[in-house]
Amino acid sequence: MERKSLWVWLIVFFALVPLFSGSDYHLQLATQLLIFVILFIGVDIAVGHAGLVSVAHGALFGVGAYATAILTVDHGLNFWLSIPVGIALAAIFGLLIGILTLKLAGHYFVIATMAFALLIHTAAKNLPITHGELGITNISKPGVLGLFSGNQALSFYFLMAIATLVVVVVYFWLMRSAFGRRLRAIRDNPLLADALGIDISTAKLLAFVASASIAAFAGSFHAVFLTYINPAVTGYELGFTALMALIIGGRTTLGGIIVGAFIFAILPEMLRDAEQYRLVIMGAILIVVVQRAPAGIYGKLVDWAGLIRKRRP
Amino acid sequence: MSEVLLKVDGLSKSFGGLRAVSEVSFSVREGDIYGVIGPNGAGKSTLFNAIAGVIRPSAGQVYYRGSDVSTLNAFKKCRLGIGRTFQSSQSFSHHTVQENLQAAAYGPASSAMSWFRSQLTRDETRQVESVLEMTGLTELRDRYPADLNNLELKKLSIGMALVNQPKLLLLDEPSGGLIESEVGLLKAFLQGLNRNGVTLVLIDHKMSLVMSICNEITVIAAGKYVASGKPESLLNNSLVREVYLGHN
Repeated sequence: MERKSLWVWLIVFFALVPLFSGSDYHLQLATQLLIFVILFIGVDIAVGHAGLVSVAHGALFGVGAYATAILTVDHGLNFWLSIPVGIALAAIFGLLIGILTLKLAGHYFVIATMAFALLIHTAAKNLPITHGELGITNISKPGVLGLFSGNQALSFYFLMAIATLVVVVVYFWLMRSAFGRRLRAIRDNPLLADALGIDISTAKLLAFVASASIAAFAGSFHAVFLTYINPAVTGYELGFTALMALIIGGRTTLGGIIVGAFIFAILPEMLRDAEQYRLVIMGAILIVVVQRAPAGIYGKLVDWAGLIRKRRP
Repeated sequence: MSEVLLKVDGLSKSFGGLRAVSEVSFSVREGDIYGVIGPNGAGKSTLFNAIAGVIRPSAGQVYYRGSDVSTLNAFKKCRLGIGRTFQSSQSFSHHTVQENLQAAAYGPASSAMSWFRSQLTRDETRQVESVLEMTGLTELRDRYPADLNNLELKKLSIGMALVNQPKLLLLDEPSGGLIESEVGLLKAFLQGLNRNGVTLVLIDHKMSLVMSICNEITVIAAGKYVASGKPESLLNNSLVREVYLGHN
């Protein structure tokens, strides 16, 4: 876990983003980054802390997005009320996936989560309730946004900043609690954890449900942010993206999650003029990080900062 | 006569067609230091894992304080008061000595609230301190397992089990990897634990330790019960001599 000063710097940084550039484009990029931060926090609970390498979280993100889209567009429900429904649905999916797959070891577990992601994706493509391939359009943004002088992009950015702050607080609280400690004990030495009285099955199941819920929470905001979703939002590509982001940024640290979100939200935009090389560059970054920085870019930065501090007289 | 704490009754364990342990029975009384010995491949570790709950017995029962605990998982047995250590010392390598003991203290509580507390209770903190003192690791509390010698690692491993105040402690090869002088120190440490009310069951190859510390021993060979009794009586037992020396 990280020092409190990081919190202060992050809050100051995200509060000042609108001052760096007032353009809608930049604010939307920053908003996308915050949505990714929430999703990656959810994935980090399963992957980083519990060691459950899941690629189903893209689909669980989609469950939240669809819950909000269907309930607000087709049933006229308030956005804020659609969030708990999305979370509950994803939690039930997480519970089901967990019960059926958590006994599987290593790559069998990864493949099983991919199968569930495909199931959810297929359902999104074919069920009438999801409007099939056409998706759902005209998803309206929540009603509190008039507060910010009519600037939708700025309003939504601040709303996301508050939502992200709430998730970060919950994440730190959970991971510093006995729950987080038990998860890391299981990840690091399951045999010993079992002998020390830790209920491994329950801990893993809770981790999966919590991470699925947070992914769905991010999905709800994603739906209203884009105002349009289609089955692509449930594709397992996003699950792989989240995994890569955590490997590149660094697992189990907020700094690592933000670096990962930056790389996957901002870097593609910066590489727009070199679109054909985007995947090559991402692949190269992944290879270099895996070989040179097993704790991710953030982990490497922390190491360097420590070295510089030591060299000071 | 003190109460029977652990009773192993006709315990067998097969892996496919291989019968690793066959109908082994023995009883451990409260306050005992009980040894289970046998040559390599005798099935000691399998027996130990079946008692600890890592694997389920194929047949037979394990009773703890009169209750059948044969099918309970390891974590449930820990919560009942059965601690264990492993053949190779186990710890959380990224944690310091003190953090390892704290991690052990966070383990067994089962209430819903216990999952979400962010601090140990006063009693648990006191217990961690007491274990640090008992194991002689107080000065080394900020060291990482990689910086400890073999005896310190053994003590850390035992200490983690002790944090949860077990009534029965199962020790798998506690003297493994230790030199003779360290075995002497370990023996004194284990006797101290026993005086403090912890009943010990140990599997070990080091006969000097087993014979000098245990008040009762069971010998198994090829997965089967051979003999049991006081150490001195077993030394003169022809069956035991045959198992160990290949002749009477």
